[in-house]
Amino acid sequence: MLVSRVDLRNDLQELHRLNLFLTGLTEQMAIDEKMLFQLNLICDELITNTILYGYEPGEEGRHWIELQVSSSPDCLEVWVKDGGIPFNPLERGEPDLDLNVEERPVGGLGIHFVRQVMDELYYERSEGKNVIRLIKRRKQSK
Amino acid sequence: MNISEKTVDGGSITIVTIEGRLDANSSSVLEGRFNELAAQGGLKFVFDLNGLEYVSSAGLRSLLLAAKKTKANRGKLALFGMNENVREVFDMSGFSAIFSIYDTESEAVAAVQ
Repeated sequence: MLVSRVDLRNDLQELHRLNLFLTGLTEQMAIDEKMLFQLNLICDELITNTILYGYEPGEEGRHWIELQVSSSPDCLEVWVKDGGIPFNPLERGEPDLDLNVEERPVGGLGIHFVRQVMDELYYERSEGKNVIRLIKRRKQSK
Repeated sequence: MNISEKTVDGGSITIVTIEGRLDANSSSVLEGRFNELAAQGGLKFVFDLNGLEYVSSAGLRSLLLAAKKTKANRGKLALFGMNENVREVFDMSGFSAIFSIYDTESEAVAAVQ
């Protein structure tokens, strides 16, 4: 199993480094262009949530968010750990996708994307950290 | 992310070209620019997304705000040129049903005329 990790500060500028980190994994972890986009999207959504809502105002850039991606022949596994306020994204309700432009609220889609893209989602609060583990099964190559 | 504009149809339609990555960093830039264009009296907009490589929910938020503002002003907004990955984000979010989406600039321009 291949494992790679990056630590990102709680600063939105770090989304650029997130993209570089994931792009750097594509060859060794056999991640195709579509999977790269989706992985980037779901990591972005979780990490952006933590950066915007996980810490007190004025704490920007002072905390670390750990992202680990591991690859096996069967699946990709993503871990996101942060020491921000306890937040279980799996408790978020599903957005109503059928509303029209005027009725549609402007938030609530990020976790929906994580649910759509990934096959298994787990959350625990452990040792003062939010720990999110996500699994994406690789499609059978037949 | 880069944003540029041009007008067509005698200045009545503004084509806004959005290139690069539309995420939590850049969504407020698009929101601010669109609000300026709307404040200048713009009612008919076409967004050229050919160069849009990536969009997250924060990026969708700025597009939805543009659609809401246009609707409130009784204007029109059409999108064209999105790549397959961006299209999938639109599909997952239900945005494909609430935006007018076209393949080409001429179709999008005709839709808001």
